[in-house]
Amino acid sequence: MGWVLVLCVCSFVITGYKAQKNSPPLKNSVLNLLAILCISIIIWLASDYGLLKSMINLLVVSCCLKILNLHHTGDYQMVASIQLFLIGCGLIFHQSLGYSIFYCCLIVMLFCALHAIKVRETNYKNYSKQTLLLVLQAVPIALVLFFVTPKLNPLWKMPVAKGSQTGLSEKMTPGDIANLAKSDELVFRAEFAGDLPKPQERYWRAIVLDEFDGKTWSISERAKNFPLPSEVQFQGKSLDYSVIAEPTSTNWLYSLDIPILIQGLSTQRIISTQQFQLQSRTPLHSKGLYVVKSFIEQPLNIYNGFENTSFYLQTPTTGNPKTVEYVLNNISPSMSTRQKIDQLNALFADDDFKYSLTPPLMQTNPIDQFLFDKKTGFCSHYASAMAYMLRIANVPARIVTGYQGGELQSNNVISVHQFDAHAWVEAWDKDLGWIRTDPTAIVAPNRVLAGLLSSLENRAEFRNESPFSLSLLQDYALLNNLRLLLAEIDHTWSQSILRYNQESQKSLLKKIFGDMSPRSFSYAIIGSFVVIGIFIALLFIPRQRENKKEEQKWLETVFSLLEKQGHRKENSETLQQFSQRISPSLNSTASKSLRYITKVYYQWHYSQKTHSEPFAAVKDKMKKQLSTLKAAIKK
Amino acid sequence: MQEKIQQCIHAIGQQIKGKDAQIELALICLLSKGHLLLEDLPGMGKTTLSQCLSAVLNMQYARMQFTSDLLPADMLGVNIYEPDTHKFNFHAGPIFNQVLLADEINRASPKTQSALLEAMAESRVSIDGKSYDLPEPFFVIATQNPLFQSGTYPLPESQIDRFTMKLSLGFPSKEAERAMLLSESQSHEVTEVLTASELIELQESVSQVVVSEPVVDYILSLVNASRDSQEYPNALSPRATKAIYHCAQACAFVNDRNFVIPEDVQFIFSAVTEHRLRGQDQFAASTTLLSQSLLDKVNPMAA
Repeated sequence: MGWVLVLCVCSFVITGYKAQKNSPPLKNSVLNLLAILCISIIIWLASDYGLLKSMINLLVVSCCLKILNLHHTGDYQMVASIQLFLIGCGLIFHQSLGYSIFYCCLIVMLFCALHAIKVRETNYKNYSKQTLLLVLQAVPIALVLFFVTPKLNPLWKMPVAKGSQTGLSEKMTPGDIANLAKSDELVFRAEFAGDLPKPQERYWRAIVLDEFDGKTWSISERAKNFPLPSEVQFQGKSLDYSVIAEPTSTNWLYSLDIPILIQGLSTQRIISTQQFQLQSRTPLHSKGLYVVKSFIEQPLNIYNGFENTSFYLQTPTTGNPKTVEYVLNNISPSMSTRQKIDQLNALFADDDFKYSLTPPLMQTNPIDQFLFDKKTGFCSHYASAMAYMLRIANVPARIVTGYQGGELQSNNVISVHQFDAHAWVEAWDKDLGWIRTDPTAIVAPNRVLAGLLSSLENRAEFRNESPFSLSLLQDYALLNNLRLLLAEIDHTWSQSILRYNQESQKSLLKKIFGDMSPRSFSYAIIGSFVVIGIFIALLFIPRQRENKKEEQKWLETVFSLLEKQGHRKENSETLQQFSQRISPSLNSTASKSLRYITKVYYQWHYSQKTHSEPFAAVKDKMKKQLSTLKAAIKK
Repeated sequence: MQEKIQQCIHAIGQQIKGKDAQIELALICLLSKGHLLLEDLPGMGKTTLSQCLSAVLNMQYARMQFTSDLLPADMLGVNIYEPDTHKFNFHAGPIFNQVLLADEINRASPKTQSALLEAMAESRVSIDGKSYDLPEPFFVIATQNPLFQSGTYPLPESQIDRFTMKLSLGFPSKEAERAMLLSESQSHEVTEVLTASELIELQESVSQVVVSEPVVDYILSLVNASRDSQEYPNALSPRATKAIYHCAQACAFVNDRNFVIPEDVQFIFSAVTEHRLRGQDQFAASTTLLSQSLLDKVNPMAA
């Protein structure tokens, strides 16, 4: 939520101001009032944002308010742990390489802050160095944990992030897709094993809409969820590719016609429907990979689940009189389906029709207005009008929404973005099956051949919403190459890291250790945990003991240093007696430093109760003197 | 306050040359509210030391020569019938002084010895069912001749334990003796440095000196070493432990420190423990000090 960001900035500014001016803390009552206000706003907006986002916003708000009211070390630690949790939440929404690096940096900074609080160190160089050392120690453990820990399915499900605008919707009102086309978010990437489809054949089917109410196309109840019978066989040329789909809020997946699923998602089952779509059982909330074989030459006549295709002739009974009249005048029932399609398409060949992302609003009888008055529209306008006319002409027709085109990267990967969203029409012929016809291609042939950007007459239209969009940079070859390189890195990242699951874990371990029985595999995992545990124990347990006996350590250092020089402490000697005895045989620096060490040690060790200096300061002094002594002795 | 103590040491040092360590120890004993036993051959300056101490501290001083026929009443005092008033009147003995020099204590009979030691422990005396408080501060300096001399009644272990310290002055060095001879002609008045009330104040401050955990550990491991080993016929008693503790505090105080270090313990250790460790039947034993062997055994830096 935008206002939460504003609150964040405000609280940082106030905290900074307070630190500068050393002003008194805010009153608790003010903070409490502010908190109540914020919480009520969050509750007010909760239904729009969904549970997960509201909860995260709540955390952010509480974090901001707590920052205004920091008193004890505990407060700082609490804020830091909330922020760690928030970073974890952030990873629900963003998993790309860039965000991962960003979050890692945040975590390191948090650790720096925590460490600084813990050791009460103010020199940022010192504590950041120490923290980095600690973090680097943690990296191998993290890697081992990532690669070796059994990948179990999560025990609970994360609540759904509601309100994400991404993806196609299950209803289409002309104009919807135009909004989508202004987003350059990635939808999916397809990696082809062999040949690539031609640009004009890259129709990625997602949703089929069959019910029209005069304005909006939607999915009828009857058409939902009819799986394709498995005995159906396809022939002809086929393309093999794997798709990595970004998270979406719908369960429609993307494929070229006609898809056969080779390997499904690791998390859930995918259904092939009778409308040649792929559909996951639940919305895809994380990146998912599936492998498909598409028979691109196969006509779409293999199967039609509805014996009665008259269902696809449904039209609203009233409205759009001009269109009805036009169709009835121009189409005779004796024409073949193909002829009817051509005849109707001829309407769009008229030069007056314009392809635009920002068509004027058409409220009443939208198809009439579009066809005979405004003559300006986006693909959804053309598809909607075409399908409507076909139905009036007694040809069963439906609208398919999905994506068309995509950007070709190296190594046979096509990435498809939201601005590639498209809608086209399919008409039913008894013999030919479903025929794809795309009226947009007639109005703006470049849309299909070269993508959205080249087909818009006014390219500023596309840009005005996101001035910093990467696609702006296409004009500069170098920058475009850079962009493509980044996209490729991101692709590798999602391929190798985000896709890492039980299967890849097994194959990785197999690569390293050779074949393993499940039993020895589990032993190996347990073994690795034990090793990590022992490692951590070795790292931390002795340190605790040493901390207690820090002073003892100083002594041992001094004695061992001097013993190397042949000065042995007698059992009954105290440090002072020892240093007095041997100092004549040391050089002046060494004896001076030894005397100083003795003094500091006695001061600290034997008068703890009355000592005013903090231990850290004594420790510092001692360390410096010990190194001086060491250097002096070596001379 | 510490300067005054240094002045004391200096003033006494004028009279007894070359024995600064013993003088300091004697003062430490006094500051820790203990009693002092001086053991040496006749003519070594025991009496001079005790006289100087009382003079410097400006305390009432009495000297008693202990002999084999000395009776407790001679020391404590006695109720005497007054024919004029027909009443018994208490005549206080020499023990009612702030400093009592009990000369040659081991010549007196055990009965008299124990009477003195009782008074030392309790700071009061009971005569005919009535108890009398002794003055404050109360400090006994006893001297004894080495035990191999004839006509002595050795003090039993239980009683010698009550002396906080036992010191020997020993023969002076050549230089010290020369200085003694040369300064003989000039008569030195010992100037008083402290008053009795100041001494009480000092004793109070001594008990405030910090004894840190490591030093306590050191003292305990020294004491326990004497108990664990067979070499020591008489192990150190808890009273000895307390004496070490308090003397170490006083030693730190004399050295102008408000916390005790192991050197303090080592400095006072032999004086405080040697007479307790050795007992009386081993007077002919080896010349090495038992207390020193204890110190050698324990590492002061271990804790």
